[in-house]
Amino acid sequence: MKIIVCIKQVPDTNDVKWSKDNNLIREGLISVVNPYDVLAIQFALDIKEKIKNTTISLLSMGPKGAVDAIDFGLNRGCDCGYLLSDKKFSGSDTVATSKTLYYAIKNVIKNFDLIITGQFATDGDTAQTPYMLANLLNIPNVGFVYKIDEIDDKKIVLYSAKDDGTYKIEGNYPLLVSISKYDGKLYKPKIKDYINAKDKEIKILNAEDINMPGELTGIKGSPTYVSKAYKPQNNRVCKFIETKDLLNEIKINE
Amino acid sequence: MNEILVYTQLNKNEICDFSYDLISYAKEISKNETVISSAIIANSDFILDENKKKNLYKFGADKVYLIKENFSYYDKYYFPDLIFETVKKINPSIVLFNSTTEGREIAPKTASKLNTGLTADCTGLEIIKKEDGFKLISTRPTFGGKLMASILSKTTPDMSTVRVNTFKKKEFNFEGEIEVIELNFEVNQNSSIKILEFIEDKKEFSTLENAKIIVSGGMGLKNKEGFEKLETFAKLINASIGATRKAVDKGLIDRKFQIGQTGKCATPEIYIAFGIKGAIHHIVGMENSKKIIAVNTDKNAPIFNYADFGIIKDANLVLDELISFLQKEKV
Repeated sequence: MKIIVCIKQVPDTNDVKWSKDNNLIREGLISVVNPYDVLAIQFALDIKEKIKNTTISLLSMGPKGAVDAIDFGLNRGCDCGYLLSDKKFSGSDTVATSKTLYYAIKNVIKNFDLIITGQFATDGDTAQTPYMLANLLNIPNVGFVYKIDEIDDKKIVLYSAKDDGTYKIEGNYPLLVSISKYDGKLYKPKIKDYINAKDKEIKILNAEDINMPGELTGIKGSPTYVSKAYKPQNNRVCKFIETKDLLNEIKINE
Repeated sequence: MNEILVYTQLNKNEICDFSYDLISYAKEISKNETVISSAIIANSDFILDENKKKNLYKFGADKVYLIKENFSYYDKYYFPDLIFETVKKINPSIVLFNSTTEGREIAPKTASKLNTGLTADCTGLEIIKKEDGFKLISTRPTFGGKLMASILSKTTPDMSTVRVNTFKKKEFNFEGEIEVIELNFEVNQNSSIKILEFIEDKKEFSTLENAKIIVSGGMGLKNKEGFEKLETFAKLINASIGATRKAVDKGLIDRKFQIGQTGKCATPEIYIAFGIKGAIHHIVGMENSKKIIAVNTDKNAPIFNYADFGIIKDANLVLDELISFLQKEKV
């Protein structure tokens, strides 16, 4: 089985800077693998344990430094990585990002059975890109997945948790799955995988490599833009009280 | 063109309250300059009775598009195709969805089909008049709530998902009645996805969103026993339970109770935070509560900056005291 895991390096959100034209300045921020994508990687690795001849390709988009995110997966047993890195890609919103991933999958990676993504990324928290990617690839997708019930090389049965309840869903390949939490265990890298990772390939691809028209990339290809960014307001003043007073504070409004 | 289309969500053939909220919000920002329409996708079990029509109209909708389809209640995978067709037909300036799991699944696929921009999980909307229609300014917390960003789109229609509880429904239209337009589309209903089973979450679906009092726990409650105390206290005062992302990630409580950036947004009358430090991604989910009370051992914890009342004490101890007060009262 061929699996693609889409991952994103996200900045530590404690130190945010914006450029003059109100785009995020990502350079200089401490970066981590988006926590939901860590779950997606583990999800893929668990499938690899179950199904023979499974290969996992990692796909990411970002500055050159985002190879660290790919290394994170390779060190844990994923097989190869693709980093979409080009100045033209910067400033992409979810529409442009999903198109960039689409061109890379269509024109470079080509074959796959399953695409696994995190449900959210902690920086933007839009949860839109996986759905847009599934639409562009014209494949079905299942969101808010937290557990695999059964899997073989023809089909996968998954549990998905939505507002109204839990869905048990069966899907055939090709399929895109987004992980919002994971009931499985997260493993530390094994020494064997860590050593093997050195020989694994990471391909760095630009817009030309994936055959993506320039006008679809980055800021040009993004319908949305940030017109204004500002710090949230807060006007409360805290009065310190004792435990017994707390009950009075609840009663007043009853 | 001068129309705001609001995707109206159903729960067991009833219109969700938060969809009325969103219709009212659309009406509020439109300042009577645009038509407000509701789009309902329903199967033959759904009846748009007088009561529903009256409510839709009262809370701000001028029109309702009823898209009747033959589908099983839980199969919503081709809803984006239906909304896409609806948008192509009526050409609205703006399309809004609630930021529920359903809205957040339908909106991005619809936007991708329309090749238009979409802003996620907004907490504020405004419109500006342009020669060729209206443009939407959507405000949302970003970067873990560190910043608010106002987002516009270069394309039309403008689309946003709007956080539940951003605006409460109110009455706008008094005399007259809503226009009902039935729509039918032929879309491909074949999919390789099959729903094998659905387990309804009886407790859930809006208990947090509609709660009057929420008692919420963070890592300061330390362990599952702490959360059991929280639950006992909640029952005694008839409150709903909330939690921080960290407590959820540590497995102290189920994810459906999570409040904040990646969880739910709550605006109860009273919000009591036990052992919550006040990470900004939690704050954005509860800061609009009417009264906020915080319990924490650290007097410098950021939560106190957002609280009206504070207790500097171990949250477990305070819960013990509260439970014992209340149980004595009962006797």
